[in-house]
Amino acid sequence: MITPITERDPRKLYLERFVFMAALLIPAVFRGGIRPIIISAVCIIFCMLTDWACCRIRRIKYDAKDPAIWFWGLSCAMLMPAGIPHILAGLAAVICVALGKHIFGGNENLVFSPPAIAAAFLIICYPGGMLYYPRAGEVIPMFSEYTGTLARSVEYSMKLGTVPTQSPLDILLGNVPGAIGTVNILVILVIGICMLIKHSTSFTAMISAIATVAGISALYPRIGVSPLMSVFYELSTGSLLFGIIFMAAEPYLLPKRRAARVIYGIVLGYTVMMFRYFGKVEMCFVFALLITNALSGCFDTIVENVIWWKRNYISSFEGNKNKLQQGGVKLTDTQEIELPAKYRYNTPPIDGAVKSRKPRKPTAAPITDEPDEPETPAEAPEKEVGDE
Amino acid sequence: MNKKNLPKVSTDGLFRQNIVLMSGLVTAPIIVAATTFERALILTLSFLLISYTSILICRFIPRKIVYTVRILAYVGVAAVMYIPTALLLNAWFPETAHQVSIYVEILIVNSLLLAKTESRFYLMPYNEMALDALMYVLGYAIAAFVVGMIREFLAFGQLFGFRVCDAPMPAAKTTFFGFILVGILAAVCRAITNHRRRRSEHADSIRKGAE
Amino acid sequence: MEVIARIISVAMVSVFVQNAIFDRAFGSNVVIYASRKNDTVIGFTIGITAMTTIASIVSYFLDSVLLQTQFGWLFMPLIYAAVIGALYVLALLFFWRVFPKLFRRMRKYVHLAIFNCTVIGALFLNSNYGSDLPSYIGYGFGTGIGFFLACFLLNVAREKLDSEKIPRVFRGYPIMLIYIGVVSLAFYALAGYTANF
Repeated sequence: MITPITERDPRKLYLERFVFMAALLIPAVFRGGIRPIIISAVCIIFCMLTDWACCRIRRIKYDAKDPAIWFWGLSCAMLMPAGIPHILAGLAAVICVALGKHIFGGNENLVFSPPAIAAAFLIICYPGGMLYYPRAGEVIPMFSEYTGTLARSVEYSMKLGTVPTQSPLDILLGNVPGAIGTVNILVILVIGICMLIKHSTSFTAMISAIATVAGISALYPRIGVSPLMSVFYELSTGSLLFGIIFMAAEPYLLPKRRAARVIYGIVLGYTVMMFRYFGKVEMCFVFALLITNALSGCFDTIVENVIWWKRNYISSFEGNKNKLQQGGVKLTDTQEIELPAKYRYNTPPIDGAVKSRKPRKPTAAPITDEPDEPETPAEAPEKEVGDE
Repeated sequence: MNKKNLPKVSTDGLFRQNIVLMSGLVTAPIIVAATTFERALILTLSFLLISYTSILICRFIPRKIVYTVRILAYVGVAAVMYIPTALLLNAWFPETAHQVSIYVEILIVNSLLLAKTESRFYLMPYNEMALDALMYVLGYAIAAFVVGMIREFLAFGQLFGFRVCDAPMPAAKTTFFGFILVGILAAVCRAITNHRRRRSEHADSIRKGAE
Repeated sequence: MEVIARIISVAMVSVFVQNAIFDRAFGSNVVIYASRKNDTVIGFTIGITAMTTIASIVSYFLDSVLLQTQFGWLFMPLIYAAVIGALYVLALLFFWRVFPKLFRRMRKYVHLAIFNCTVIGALFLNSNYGSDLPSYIGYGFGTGIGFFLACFLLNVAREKLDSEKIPRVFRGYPIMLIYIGVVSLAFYALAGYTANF
């Protein structure tokens, strides 16, 4: 039986996702030569070096076999054009690990997706390097600077309001200008299905995000095409599919509850479309992912509150008691519906065990013959409003 | 000169309680507007002329007046001090002053004047307060110049207005970069302050052990 | 109907495209302070939104006189400070008479919620870019809602930002700034670079 994603070991999950993502290098090599592999290697090596350096500075143990670092390095590479200078690839890796991971406290305290931060930073700081792509089929030199013609992506023509000139088959097969790992739509779809079967990604988050994007693009197409073609173009451009399958369902960032993951997917899909309609930059999936990551902390809380409210205000006491009894939970005479810990105000423990009280301090000082010490005037406290 | 009559100079405002990097009381001008050395100079001069002079003048407002009314007086004095400041800056920096004008205007409600005065400055003797407030202004200047020079080099490839190279990172003049840069500098400042505090505590403990 | 649509569209621009915190850094210390508790988030938001909206309406009529004069811009800070001060006193009197319990609770924070860069910055931006009364109202109202958005995003992430896993030198104020910076980076894709202050 396959364990759900939230209960799996994150290390094994990241390793699986890394292997699945590495499969995208095969069509990339067919399109652009060995350079995509060199860029990926540069990103991964710089990620590992930055991780080592940050661990030394923080004086914590360095884990050379952390698959999350390899995964993030490869993600950064996949979001870049094949012709990007190697130094920018290294810079992305440094930002990804130093800013995305270590400054926020490591793997278990992630706030944002590290490759999303790196990609967003590079898109704003170096749009020329990130948003211009070699044409499909051009051979790119392995180490030297690429001097051939550069083209804009399909998403750019949609942003201008024009119908893409590339055929849907070309878009599916990846014969369009684009990032290393995000243009091969057919391969990404196949890998996505494999990951769903292996439970390496979140079904609920993925489907809800895709459904939201599809719904909005069908109802409000950006370009003059039929709703079905609008859905096709929106899903297959702008690194959306790659981002939803690989980056949106990070084990350390995904909400715990299933309903919360549905909300997460809907919010992500909606934010992506709002950025596409009103934003000024391409590849807006990474920006939308940053905002959704910032909000993801509240999705679990919302769902828990709704469940508590439903249990305690909509359902009757007797109905809940019967449901709990049928579920096999044994209730004692004094047991009531179990409240979540944060709502237990002054309620005794369910099994009736009484905690021993601490001895109280006497309210009045004991009477002695010695004179009292004179009180010292209290110093004025330094109140600084707004200070940390 | 008798050393006992000299006012005690506290350098807290320079690093340990730097209002930009440690307390975070006045950050908006540095984060958004301090993108070159010249702009940092304008912001520092405006801060000196508006905030520092207002602190010195408002010291004479009687403490018997309730804080609700006193705070109005503080803001009023700062708004009055803005008038000669704006005229002076427009005369000295005719091109650049206009670009940062809004971040000079909002200094009339900065937290150094409205919060720090009540919690620190007005509890000290006048001479000490004047020197202490000057340290805080110098701390602001240090933060402004460091941020301004770093961003000038990254965004324009210039140092002190002279072009040195191609701009390594043109987006360094954006707001988000300012936030991240000031955050990292705040962490560096905190690390240096903690290191110095630990060294002085260690030195004190050795001295006490020797005694 | 057109007036309401104009107010809403300008408010949307003020919330997402020219957010007071993420785009202008107005009141970033106040937002860090206010995001500590849910009560302060709501309290500060209501205070700032009410103040920016009402002050924007008053400043519209004053700007029509001030902006016509040659040296009106010199006296703008003084006049805006007077407007905010008058509204501050009126608000305090109102709460003192009508809601005394609430007045006692909010007395400690009300000056911070009213005398800050967000409120006065909104008035200055209105005078630079506002054209008619609906745009003034929309921008003022949107500034308050933009403040709430920033406060909410910080409040939601508080648990992780206050974690002990964050390196000691980054805990507290530095990590808050970096967090706001990353969110500002995300909002930049909506805004683009606003060169005009």
